[in-house]
Amino acid sequence: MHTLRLTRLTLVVASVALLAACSSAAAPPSAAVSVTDAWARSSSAMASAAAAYATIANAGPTADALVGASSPAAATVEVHETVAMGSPAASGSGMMGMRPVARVEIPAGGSLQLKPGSYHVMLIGLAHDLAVGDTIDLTLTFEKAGQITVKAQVRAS
Amino acid sequence: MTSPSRRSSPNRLPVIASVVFAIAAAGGIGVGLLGVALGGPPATPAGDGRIAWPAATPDPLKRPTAIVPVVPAPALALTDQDGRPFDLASMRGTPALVFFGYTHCPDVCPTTLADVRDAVKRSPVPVRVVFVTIDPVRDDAAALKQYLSFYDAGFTGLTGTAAEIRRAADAWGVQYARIDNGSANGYAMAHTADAFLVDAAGRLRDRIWFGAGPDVFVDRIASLVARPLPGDTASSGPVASPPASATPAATPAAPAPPSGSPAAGSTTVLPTLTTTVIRVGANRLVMTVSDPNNRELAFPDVTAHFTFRDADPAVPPIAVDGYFIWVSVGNKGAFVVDVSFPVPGAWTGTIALQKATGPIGAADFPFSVVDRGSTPAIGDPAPSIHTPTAADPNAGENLYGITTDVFPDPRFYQFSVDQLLAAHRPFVLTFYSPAYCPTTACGPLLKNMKAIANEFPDVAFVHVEPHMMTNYGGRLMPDYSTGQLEFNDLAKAYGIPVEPFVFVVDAQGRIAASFELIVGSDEIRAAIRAATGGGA
Repeated sequence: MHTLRLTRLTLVVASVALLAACSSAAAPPSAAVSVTDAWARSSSAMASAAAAYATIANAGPTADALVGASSPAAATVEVHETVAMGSPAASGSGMMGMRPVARVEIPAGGSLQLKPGSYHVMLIGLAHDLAVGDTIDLTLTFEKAGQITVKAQVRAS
Repeated sequence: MTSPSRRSSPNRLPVIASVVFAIAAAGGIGVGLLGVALGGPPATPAGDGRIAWPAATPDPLKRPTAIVPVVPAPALALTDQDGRPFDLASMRGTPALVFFGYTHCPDVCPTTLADVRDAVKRSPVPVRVVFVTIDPVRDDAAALKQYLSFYDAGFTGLTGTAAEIRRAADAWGVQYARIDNGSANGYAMAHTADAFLVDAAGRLRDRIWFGAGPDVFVDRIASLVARPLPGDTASSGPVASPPASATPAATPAAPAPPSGSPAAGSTTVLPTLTTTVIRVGANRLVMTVSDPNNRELAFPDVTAHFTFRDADPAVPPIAVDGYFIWVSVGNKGAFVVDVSFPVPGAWTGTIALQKATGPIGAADFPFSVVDRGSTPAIGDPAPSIHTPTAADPNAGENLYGITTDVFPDPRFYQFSVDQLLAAHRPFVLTFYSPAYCPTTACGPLLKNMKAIANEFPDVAFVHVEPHMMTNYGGRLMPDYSTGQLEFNDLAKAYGIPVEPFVFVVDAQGRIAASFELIVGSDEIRAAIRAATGGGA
């Protein structure tokens, strides 16, 4: 299954590269979007899901959008958003909910932080324990920039 | 005796009442807070990528969390991760952090567990940690044991039957609801993610918000030591040993006037007039009162006498007694005064508070009276609007397409206002958003209105979401396209300036009563009886 995923990934990367080569843009689109500070929270493989986080910056002149994610460390990877539900946390219920998101826009010149209590990558069906000090591959898929794979450090918090 | 149980460190005082009120608001049956889309709609980031609520205080360490007055921690008797019965009372002698979550929770619960684990390591005193599942279907004792062992073998995990968990969560003011969001991880649980700090004497002391970080936990634990109360020592004080039947609700009214208290009548009274629509003719004004330390002054055994003076001395002053209502039973009170103003203009009110033992204090408050307010006045025809009903094509299976109430009562979505007016039926029209209400007054109202509706089977009840909302995959989500919640056309038709707002309409289609923001259950009952000529 992972092999299949990687093969498809390779094809997509290749086609994106091909598109970039055909376009007359000065820089390849992937240069506009960068992913830094990627980390995943340590977790037992027995846990149903773990979360990974990163900072995404879009230095390009046009908006891009995060539309998916994958990792060999998990059977399924989804992008979710944790949302405060109700009024301001200090005077409200303190109720938090979570929903999968299909597309998160990153404005031109803007950034998007995947962080606890906000947008996060959900690693469902871990292939192995995520132990502090390990790194896992995390691939984020963007509407324009295509796929960007980074090493995510496993941290306790 | 003095009343140190109501004392707190200075930097926490400003929003103590609102913290207590928030708990009260959350304390009822499922205060609906569900705004989750089914299929993963596009999300628009704002700033750092999410809709940001204004932070109360930029410095998290200064953000108030203290719970005042100090009350005994609610009961918590469930089954632990080893399948043994557990009672929080068994942890007396050691402070405890109690929070609710579930093991399929990948973001919120691990964040809190990691924060708490770090805080416990750095805490100046030993602290116990209790994690209560709100997902008993998936979280049996074994699942909890496995999940918590990854964080710290010393954490206690609690589970129980669905009914036991709901009862425990209600007692703690914790809300939760299942969300079938289509994730491969299975359903998610929306839940109150705040953590509660219980002191060594078993009293509820702080409510720490999600994402506070370990420093805040350490600070609050350390300040338990720094602000001792009677009962912190081996001999138990009156607060430390509540009778088994004691509830938080009984506590606020309980303290007798302390012998060392200020002289009678010298308390500085800070009144807050919560009513904004004040017009010539009949009005119902609602006022909350506190002292400069934000201590509640409205209690059932306190009487409030009001005097109103127009700027023009030729207009005779009006003297009238107010009456007490619970905004949230046991936690937050208010005084209501029914008063008719003869002329518009600048008025000054005076509220004088008194107990059987003597006067408490008095204060003036300025306000304006207008000719006509934005909402229909008593006796005006109720505007005819089409309000969403279960018959609407987008209402959805659970009515989630027309309401943000997690547990909607179908009675409130049976008839549209225009149908009721055409049929000359009396009805109660309620405007508020269970999920997106910006005030804590909506929580108690939601709970109370459903109970009241059951008492009046012959009266129609209508609930209307007052905000601009968008239906995403069968669920209502707020429309933040202008950067904030905006009232929708239905709310504008009634001119409501705030929510919640309740109108009682008689069989002639005229406004018989209206209630802004704070509503007492008995007031609504009385208004319904008056508008329908008796009954119930």
